Amino acid sequence: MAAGDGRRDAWTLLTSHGRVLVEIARDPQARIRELSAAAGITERATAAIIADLEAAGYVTRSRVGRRNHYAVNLDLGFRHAAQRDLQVGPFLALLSGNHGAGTAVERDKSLKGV
Amino acid sequence: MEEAEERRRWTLLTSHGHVLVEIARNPRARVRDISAIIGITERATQAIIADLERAGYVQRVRVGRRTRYVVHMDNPFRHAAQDGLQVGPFLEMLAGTSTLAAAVTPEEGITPEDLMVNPVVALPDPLAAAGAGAEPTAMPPAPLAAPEPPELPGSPAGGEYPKN
Repeated sequence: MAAGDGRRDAWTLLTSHGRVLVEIARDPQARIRELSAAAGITERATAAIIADLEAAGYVTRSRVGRRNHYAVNLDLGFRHAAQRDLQVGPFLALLSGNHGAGTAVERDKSLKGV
Repeated sequence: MEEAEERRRWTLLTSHGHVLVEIARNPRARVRDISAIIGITERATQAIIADLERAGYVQRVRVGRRTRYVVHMDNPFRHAAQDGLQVGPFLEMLAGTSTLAAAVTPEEGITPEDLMVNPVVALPDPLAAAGAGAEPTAMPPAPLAAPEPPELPGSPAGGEYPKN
């Protein structure tokens, strides 16, 4: 990675946790490698983040055949004090472009870009 | 241990995201207020604001001795995963500034122009349109936009700043 300037320029508005949660809302049946590709982090980091999201109650994992299926708890608030009274549902619907975020079991595959 | 602490304290937004939301919430916020809300140092806040400014998300405007920010709502997100999305709806949602609410907060005196949204256009009164020339309707149409906020008594320009 390039020095100083590159790093200074690489900031984003969402954390990796935020991005992984958005990607799960976009596709609750996504594989870890798809989530990691979309979020731009390693699969290992993605798995750790999913565990964090699960521990905090944002997602629940269930096994469907050989795949993971995620249910997103849209009623949960943001974690930061500045947004604590806001639910994540509308945020995820907006950013994932999936307005039944977390509830739709059948998904329109065309929603998933890349 | 430090890593464990960091893992426990994760959030969905980065500090850049939080600062941008706070500026959208209050375009006249001071650096020290923003830093207190977000829980980062003033120095970090300042650096982030400079980043946001360089990337075109905010513009600093000097008003008297204070800084006011103009947020460019039509700017896109920076990460490829959010390609094609503008930050406006995101900020409105997180800052709780529906464009109207932001426009009429009297204590801030924020105008729609501050937030770079379309100014509210008064809708034609449907009753008046239907019966042109008929008797006036009982209720005058309520103005959608608030009038200019009155000057706060006893607060000269920039009065919130103590004299140095």
